[in-house]
Amino acid sequence: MVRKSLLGEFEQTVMLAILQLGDDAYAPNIARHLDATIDRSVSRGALYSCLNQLERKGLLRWRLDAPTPERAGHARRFYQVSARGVRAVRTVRDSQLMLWRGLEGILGTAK
Amino acid sequence: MRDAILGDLHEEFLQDVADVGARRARLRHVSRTTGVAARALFDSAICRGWVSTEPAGEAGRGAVSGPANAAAGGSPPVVLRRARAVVGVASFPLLALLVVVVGVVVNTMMFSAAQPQSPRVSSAVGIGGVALLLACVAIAAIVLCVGPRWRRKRLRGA
Repeated sequence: MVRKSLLGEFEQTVMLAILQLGDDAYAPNIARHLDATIDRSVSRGALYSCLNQLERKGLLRWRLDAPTPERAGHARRFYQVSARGVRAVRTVRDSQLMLWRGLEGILGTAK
Repeated sequence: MRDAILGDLHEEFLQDVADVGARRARLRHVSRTTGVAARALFDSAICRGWVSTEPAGEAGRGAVSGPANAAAGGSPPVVLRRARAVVGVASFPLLALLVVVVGVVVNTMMFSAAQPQSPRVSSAVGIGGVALLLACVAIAAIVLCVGPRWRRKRLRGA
């Protein structure tokens, strides 16, 4: 059972970005995706710290790509959401949907 | 983790050079690198060091692993543990120093920017600069006094 307080707001955002990026989810791409989709500029320090935390919680897995010259011989680290991570995101979504329900009169319908 | 971060920073720098030119790319690179270093330092200070788990497809998903860290970072686990302990002890003084250095740099920048303007503006900026510097010194003192005690408490609780 995944605790409901398992994900913070930024962690949720990063997890969703990773899910949307699929096989292309590495840190710079995640930052670019958040900037492009929700206009959120992310500091690299915060992003790496968050990825590390999610990794520690077992919500993310990673794999290394082959090192390339444009990365000065350093490998890319691609992230993917683990089964536990998917459960956590689903739990957060379900609980939030419960809270969103019935608020259309105040907030209007979603875009 | 370290290897991937270095690669990411390098890749983004090259992309920035192509997009916005070498000068701005260098500024962005310094800003990113400083941000990552400051955050790593802060995380280390609050006992949240950046360690790696096993890569996908291998055993122990989600569990912190010494060999995996060694493979990712290229150092034996004992050395890593010692380095982490040293960084942990030194992190609060370093954080305090960083705050003071930032205060001094911003202060100097404010002074040099205000030089050609009127004396009134210059003195206002001067007072602001001194206030900022004092605030930075105060924050650094708080970090130095409270930080290590808080860290000990947290380590005892862990």
